[in-house]
Amino acid sequence: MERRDFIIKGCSLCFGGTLISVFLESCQSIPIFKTISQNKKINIPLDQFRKNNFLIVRPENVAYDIVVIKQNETEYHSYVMLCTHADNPLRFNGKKFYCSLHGSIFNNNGEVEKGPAEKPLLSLITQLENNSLTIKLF
Amino acid sequence: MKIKSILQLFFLLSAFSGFAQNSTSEDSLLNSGKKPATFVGGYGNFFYQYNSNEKVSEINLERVVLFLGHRFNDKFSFISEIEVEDAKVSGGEEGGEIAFEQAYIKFNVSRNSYFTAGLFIPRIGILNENHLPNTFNGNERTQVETYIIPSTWRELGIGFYTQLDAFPVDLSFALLNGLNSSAFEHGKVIRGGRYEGRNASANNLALTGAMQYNKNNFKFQLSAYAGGTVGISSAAADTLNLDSGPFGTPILLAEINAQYNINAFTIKALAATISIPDAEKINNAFSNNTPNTAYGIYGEASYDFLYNIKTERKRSLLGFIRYEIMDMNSKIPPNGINDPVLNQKHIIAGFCYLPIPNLALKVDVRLSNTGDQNPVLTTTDPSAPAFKKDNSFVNLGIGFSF
Repeated sequence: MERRDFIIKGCSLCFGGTLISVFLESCQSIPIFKTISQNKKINIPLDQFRKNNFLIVRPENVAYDIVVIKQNETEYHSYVMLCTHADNPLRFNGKKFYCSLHGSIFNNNGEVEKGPAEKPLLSLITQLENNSLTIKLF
Repeated sequence: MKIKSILQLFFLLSAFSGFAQNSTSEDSLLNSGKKPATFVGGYGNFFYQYNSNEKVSEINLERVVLFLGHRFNDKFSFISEIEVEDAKVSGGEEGGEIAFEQAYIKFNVSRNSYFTAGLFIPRIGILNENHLPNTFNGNERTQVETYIIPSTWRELGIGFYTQLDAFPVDLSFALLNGLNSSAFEHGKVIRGGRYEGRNASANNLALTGAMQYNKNNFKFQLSAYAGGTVGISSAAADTLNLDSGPFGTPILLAEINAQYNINAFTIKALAATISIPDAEKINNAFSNNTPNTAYGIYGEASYDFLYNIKTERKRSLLGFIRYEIMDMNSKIPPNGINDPVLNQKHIIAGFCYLPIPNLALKVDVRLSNTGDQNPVLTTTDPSAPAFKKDNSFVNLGIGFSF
């Protein structure tokens, strides 16, 4: 194979992958709420849950994301998005948490579904007050 | 002696590390991830296999792998996996292996993006990256992800991993050392050509990338690999009539997989193909019967019979069936020898019981079918059992991870 053909084929492959990626991106989105914690607390307006029953919370002054899952109108659960095996950031797909480092999977209650992780996700106290949620960072 | 020394080293390190899983302690969440911490874990499996054609059975401690990781600060970590295969390695005896599966530095660019540098496993296929025995069904890794994607495939280089903000897409890219086509073996496609971190040629290189979409119950991945296979000097390559250099005498690998899970039911499918356009030149140089193309496809369905039974500890009883087809010489160059035995079909069915998510007790049967033997490739060993196109294997085993 000529080097030129190889480069053209390689580039075509990358371009095709990128196109598909962009197409898929346009289909779905993940709700992210950027904020700052104050006095070890994070406040989230309830209207952030209008379209989705979960929200990724990204406090700028905390090292990791937090996911808040709406169980029902009065109950919300929050979990730190770190694998309990080796502190690797997790991917939450709306149903489960995935760790790419060693393959651990957690369900949306934070429980381990697949090891190597053994401990559930760190859950945070989440209180509903008026029209906002308060997450306590201990 | 070597194994003992390595194990001692790991246990000493873990003893001094004060390691515990879940190092994210309640009193320091704001600072979590900034302090040094050491992580230890591992996985392994052993299994029994009965081969009905040869009427022999074997039991083997297939592998034990120890993870050792250390976080220096919130930016830099060291991640490693060291593996002992087949229980022991003795001087002068065949079998057994001690090897690093991974050993790399991880550099966090942001909370969802990082670089890797060192020996690591690129994201190609399903099993290559997530190969712990409690995460897949069956005692054996899939045939397609053993021979078409040669898991566990690790090489030296640098990688970049990122989770896209706002979209359920993960991307990864890596620049790695290439393969060694002089070590390709008949019947194993590119598997023998991996350097796996040992004295790899840096004259030839490889690029790989993956795009993973993960939303709700659906996970989808595309990945590709392109790399050179001749790392010798250009003068030596010229004498063998091979193209050297970064992407000389290339191979291209493309893979696509999808997984869908709803409640107790999971299905997954994967297809991978390898193209070696200059296989004829490789055969002229090394006489290793390298094919032009090889491919493999599998589909698997599983059901968790304990999904709706609520217990204090998560338990699973997975029944599964998988069908694999692959042809390791689907197209051969003019100087190649066709081997229909490499055109294979496998049906694997069985159960996997996980009393806890970290421990898997497995029982399964693999029914295999191949094409006819090519007499040209037949050895005349009088003690060898008569060739049969159909074979079956009964497997029993235990896998664990922590």
